[in-house]
Amino acid sequence: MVTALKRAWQLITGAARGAEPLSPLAEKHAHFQRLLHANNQVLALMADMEEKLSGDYLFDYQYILAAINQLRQETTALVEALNQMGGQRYQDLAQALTQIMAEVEAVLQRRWEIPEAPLVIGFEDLNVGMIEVVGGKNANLAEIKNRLGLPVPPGFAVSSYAYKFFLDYNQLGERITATLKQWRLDNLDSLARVSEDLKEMINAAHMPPELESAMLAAYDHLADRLGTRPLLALRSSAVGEDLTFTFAGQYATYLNVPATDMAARYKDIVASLFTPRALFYYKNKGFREEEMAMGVMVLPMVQSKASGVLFTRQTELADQEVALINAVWGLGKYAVSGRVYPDHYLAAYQPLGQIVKQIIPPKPEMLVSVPEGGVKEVPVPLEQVKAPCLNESQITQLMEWAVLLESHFGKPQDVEWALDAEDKLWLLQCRPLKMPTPKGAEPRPRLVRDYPVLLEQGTVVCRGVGSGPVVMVRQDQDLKNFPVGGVLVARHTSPKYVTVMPDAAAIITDTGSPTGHMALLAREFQIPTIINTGRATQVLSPGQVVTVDAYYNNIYDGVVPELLEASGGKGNDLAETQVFQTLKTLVKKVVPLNLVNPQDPTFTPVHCQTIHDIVRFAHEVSMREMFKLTEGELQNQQGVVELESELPFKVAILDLGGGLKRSFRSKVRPPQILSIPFRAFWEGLAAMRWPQAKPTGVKSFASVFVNTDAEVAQGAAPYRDQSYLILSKNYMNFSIHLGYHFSTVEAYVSDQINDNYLTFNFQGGGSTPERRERRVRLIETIIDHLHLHYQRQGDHLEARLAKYPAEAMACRLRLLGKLTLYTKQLDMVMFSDGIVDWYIKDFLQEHVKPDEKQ
Amino acid sequence: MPNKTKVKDLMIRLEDYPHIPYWFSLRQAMAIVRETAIKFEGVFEPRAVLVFDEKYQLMGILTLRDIIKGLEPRFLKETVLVKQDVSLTVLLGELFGPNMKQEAQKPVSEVMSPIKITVEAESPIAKAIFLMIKENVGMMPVLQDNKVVGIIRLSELFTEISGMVLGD
Repeated sequence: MVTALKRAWQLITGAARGAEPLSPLAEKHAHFQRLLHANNQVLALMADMEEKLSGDYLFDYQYILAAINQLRQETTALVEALNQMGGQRYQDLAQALTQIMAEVEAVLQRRWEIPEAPLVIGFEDLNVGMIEVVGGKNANLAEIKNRLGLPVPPGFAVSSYAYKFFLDYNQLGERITATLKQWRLDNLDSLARVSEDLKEMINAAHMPPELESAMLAAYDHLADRLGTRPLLALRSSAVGEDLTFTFAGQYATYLNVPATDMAARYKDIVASLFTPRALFYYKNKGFREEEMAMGVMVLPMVQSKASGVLFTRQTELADQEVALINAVWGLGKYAVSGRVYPDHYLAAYQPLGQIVKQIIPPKPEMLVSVPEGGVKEVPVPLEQVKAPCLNESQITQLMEWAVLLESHFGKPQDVEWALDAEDKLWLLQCRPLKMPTPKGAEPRPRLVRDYPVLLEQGTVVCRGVGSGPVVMVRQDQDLKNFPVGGVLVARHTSPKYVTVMPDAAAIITDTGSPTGHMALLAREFQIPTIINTGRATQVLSPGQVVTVDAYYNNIYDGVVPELLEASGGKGNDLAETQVFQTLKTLVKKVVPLNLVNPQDPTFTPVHCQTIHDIVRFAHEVSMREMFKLTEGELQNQQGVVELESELPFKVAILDLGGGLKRSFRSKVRPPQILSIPFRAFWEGLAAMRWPQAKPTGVKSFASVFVNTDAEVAQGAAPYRDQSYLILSKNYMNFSIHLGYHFSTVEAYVSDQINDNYLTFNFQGGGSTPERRERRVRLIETIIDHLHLHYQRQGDHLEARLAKYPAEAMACRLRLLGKLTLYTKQLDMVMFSDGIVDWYIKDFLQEHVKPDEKQ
Repeated sequence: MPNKTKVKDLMIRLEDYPHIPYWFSLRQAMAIVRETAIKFEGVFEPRAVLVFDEKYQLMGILTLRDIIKGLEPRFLKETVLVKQDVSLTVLLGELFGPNMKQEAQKPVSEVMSPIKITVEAESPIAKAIFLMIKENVGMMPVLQDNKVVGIIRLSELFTEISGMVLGD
C-alpha cells in the first residue's frame, strides 16, 4: 500500500526520474562531477604534502602511507571518470598513471638496510663516511683521530650490523616491529607499555657467542697496544645519532666498565634504544623503525682529574668570536649534569686562547672511577675546591682543537674533553653544536611601521618575503621578458606562470584557489605568494617597487629592509631525516607540472610525468569533453523541452539534473531555471533590448549578404535561429545561433572555486570579413574588461576564465548574456574602426553596472 | 549621343555603406552617421544608413532627414500644418527638448524610409533617372540576380549627365 502510494507520488512529482537509467548525456555529466570531485581531492592532498615539507609540521611515515594511498585512489577515480566521459579514449592516461604510481611505490619500498660489516671495527679502520656502519659518534671520533690527529683514545666500534646480528640471533626483529606497531605518534598512552615490552625483550635476549668473542678479541688487541688491561667507557653510537640530531642524553653510557661486563652493558645500551624518551624522540623526528640501529663505542677509560665540555661557539653570543669551555674535577658527567657548578671560561679566537671572561665557582664534589669498576662521588680535596680546573695553556690547546674542528666540519662543534693524571688532554666525543635560532626569527611585529601598506587582505599560499618592481601579467605574452626579481601581479592564478617562477620575487593575484595548480607550483619554487587580494591589479601599478610580506599578508610600498632581512633562511631540523627525504622524493614525483600549456603539442598523456600532470590533463580534457556536448547529441534526446519567454529566442533545453524545476508541460518559463550559471546568463540576456517585431507592410530585399541554399551547400554559414542548451544545477552549455553567427557559452559554477570555469566561443556573422573581424575585436576588448583569457584568429574568438568565486562567475555570465545580445548583428554596423570604439564605450557605459566594473 | 553607361558603373557597392539592423536605436544610428563623416571626409560621403533585418535583407534607408524627424515627433505629426506656413514652427515651442534622449531610443524601423523602387544593375542610367524622378527619391537599391548589390544615387547620375551636357 505504502509503496503504491509512493510510486503514485513519484509519478506525479517526477521524483522517480532518478530511478530511470541515466541518459548518455546525464551519465557523462555525472562522470564529470566525479572527476571534478577527485580533482579537488588530489589538489588538496598535493597542497598538504607540500605544506608538510615547509618544515613547520610534524609527520611520520604513517602520514606518507595514508597520503599516497588516498592520492592513488582519487587519481585512479579521476582517470576512470575521464575514460567514462570519453568512451575509453584515454587508456594511455591510465597507463601513465600506472607508471607513475609504480615509481611512487618504488620510493615507498625503498628501505634503509643495515649494511653488512664486521661485528667489531677498530677506530683505525673507520672514517666519517661510515656513520651507517658504526653510528655517528664512532664515525666522528675515528675521523678526528685519523684525519685531524687529535688525541682520541684508541678504541673500537661495535657495528650496527652487530645489532642486527644480535636481533637475528634472538629472532627479535619481527617481534620488535609488531610491538612498535602498537604505538603511533598520536597515541602516547601506549608508549610506556611498548617501551617496557621492548626493553624486557632485549634483557631476556642472549648475547650471541660470536659477538661476545669478537668484542673480547678487540679488547685483547687494545690491551696489547696499551700494555695494560684498561677499564672501559661504553657509549651509545646510534645510526641517527649525531647526524642532525644529537639525541643528547637519550641513550645509555657506562663508565669504568671491566671487560667482563662488556656484554651485559652492550645489551643495556641496546635496550636504551627503547626508553620512552628515546622512542618518542625517534618518531618525533621522523625516523623509521628500521633506522633504529645501535652501534656502541668502546674506549679505554681516561682516568681524568678534570673534564668538561667545549662549545666552539658561545651559543648566546653567536656573533662573537669566542668559545665556551666548562670544566669540573673528576669525570665529565658532572660538567653537564648540573650536580656542581662548573668552571666557566669564555676564550677568544683572536688572539687564540685569550680568556675573555672566567667564572670559577667552588666545586665541592667530583665523580671518580672506582678501581674495581663503576664510579662514585667523592669530596674534592680542599685546596682544589676553589681552584680553576684548567690553566691558560690547556685552554689555548682546547682552542686550537676548536679551530681545527670548525674548519674540518664547517660548523660549530660540541666537544667532550678529559685531562688525565699526566695533564694530557683527550678528546672523547664531538658532535655538531645545536645553535639557537638566529635572532631574526624572533617574533616580529605583524606590521612594520613607517612603510605605507598598500594591501592587507588575501590568502597566503606560500610564506616568505619578496621585494621588487611590479610586473603586470594580463595575457600570456606578458610573461615574455619577465625581469629577474620582478613581483608578478595578475588578476588570476595560472599554471603558466611557472615559466617565470625562478625569476619572480613574489606573486600577487586578485583571485585564485589556494589548492590550485599555481599555488602548488609557488610552494614548489618557494615564491612568496598571496592570492585573493581582490584588487592588487588596481592598487599596484607597473614598475612600482613593493615588498610582499607573505607571512602576515601585507604588501608595502617600497623596499622594507627589516622584513627582507628577518626572513633570511630558517633552518629545517627535519630536512635530513629519512621520512622527510622520502616525502621530498615522493613530492617530486607528484607535484611538479610539466603539462603547462594546453596548446603545446606535448600536452598529451604520454608526457605526463607526475600526478599533477595527470590531473591537469584530465581536468583540461574533461572540460573539452563537456564542451563537445553539442546540439547533435541533443536532437534525438528524450526529455528536451522548449524555453518559453517574451524574447524571440528559440531555445531547446536538456536538463541533466537539477537545472530546471520540472512541470508536466513541454515548455519551461524562465523562473523555472534552477541552473546557477544559466540563471545569471539569462538575467543578462533579458536585461537587453531585443529586436521587436518587424514593421508590417515593409518589403524586404535580399542583399548580397544573404546566403542562399546553394551558397550554404558550398560552405557559407546558414541563417539559423534555433539555440540549444544543456543544463544542470551547476553547469550550462549553450550553443547560441542568432542569425549567421554562432557562439557557445559553457560554464561550471559552484562553491568549489577550483571547479569553476567558463568558456566563450564566438564565430561568424553575415557581413563582410572586415566587419566581422571588427565585431570580434569589440568582443575581445569587452572580454578583456571581464578578465577573460582569450585567443583570436580572424573572426573566431575563444575565451576562458577559471577559478573565480561563484558570485564573480555569475557577474561575468550576466555580462556575457548582455554582450551576446548586444553583438547580435553588430558586425553589420562595424563599417569603420572608429565605430568599434564607440560601441565598446557604449557597452561599458550603458550596460555594465558600476559594481560589475573591474 | 547614346550613353552606354549602366547603373552598375555608377552605383556605390553595398559594403561601402554603413548598415544597421532595424531594431537598433536612433542613438546608435547617429553614432554611425557621425563616424561616417569622419571616415569618408573628402571622399564619398554616404548620407544615409541602410537598414537590414536579421537575415540581412534590405528593409529601408535611413537618411539624416529621417533621423531628425524621429528625434522630434512633432515634425512627423504636424508637418501638414506647418507646410502651409513655415513661420508656424513657432507653435512647436522649444524644439528638441528634454525628451530627445528618450526619443533617440526608438528603433530605426519606425522612422526609416521604406524601399519604394529598385533598379537592375544592367539597366541603362536613363532608366534609373526616370525612376528616381518619378518616385521622387534621391537614391535607390540596385539589384543583381534578385539581390541588392549596391545603391545608385542622384548625385552620381547628375555628374554623369552634366558631363554629357557640358561636353567634357
